[in-house]
Amino acid sequence: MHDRDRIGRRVREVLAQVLDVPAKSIDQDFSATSSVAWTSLNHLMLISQLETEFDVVFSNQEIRELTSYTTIVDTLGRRLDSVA
Amino acid sequence: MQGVGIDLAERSTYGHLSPSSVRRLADRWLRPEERAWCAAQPSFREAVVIVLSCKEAVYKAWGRSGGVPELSLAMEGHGAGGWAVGSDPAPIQVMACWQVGEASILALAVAAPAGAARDLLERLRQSGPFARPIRLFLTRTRDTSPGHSCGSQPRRGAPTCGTNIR
Repeated sequence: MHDRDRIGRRVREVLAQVLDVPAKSIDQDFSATSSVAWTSLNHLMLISQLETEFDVVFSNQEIRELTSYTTIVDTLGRRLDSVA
Repeated sequence: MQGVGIDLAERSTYGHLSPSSVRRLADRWLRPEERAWCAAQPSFREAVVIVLSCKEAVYKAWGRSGGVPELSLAMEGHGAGGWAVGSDPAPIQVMACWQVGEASILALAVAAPAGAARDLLERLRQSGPFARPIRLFLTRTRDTSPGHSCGSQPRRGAPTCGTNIR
């Protein structure tokens, strides 16, 4: 079982870097709805960065659904558990 | 005509990305011929954004957005503006044009019967947001997925954008 807190920290770092927002502003409610920096372009950037960081490839369905911090952490947790 | 789509990529939202990040973006989402076009442009970063913005505008013309940019575009032109033509042969053709501004890249797309798309897009280009000084405005709601839907059939609750002629 992967440590959700550790995944969360790494996801927060990627989000902060890609969206150019302070890491401390990324909380459980952080999402494409709440952040004006989360544009369609930056969403693609985010997906490619997360795939590299966590060595995974997201499906098209996942790519459409990964629109919040919590969804990303949950999805990565499941994906990493399934290969552990 | 099936639909019209518009996409605005503001420099402030992508200017901070590192060259390696932009390269990764291109490798993940652009087809080889699109990457080759980008590599031949004065700014690789800007070219990648142009292609992705044109794709987003095309998806909006289809009534979708926030999707995965799987379609292939043949890029025509370079620098400040040009055309992007959907390369899939189909009864409905998709085509986009773009214009690089000081602070943003604007892409306009149509989905229309084959043979009519370029003429329609040219007419829209001449009478629409590219034709005279404009102020583009965006409004965001609290209920949306990534990006803003500016197609002819925006989703309920999605942010909308339009043009305000000065």
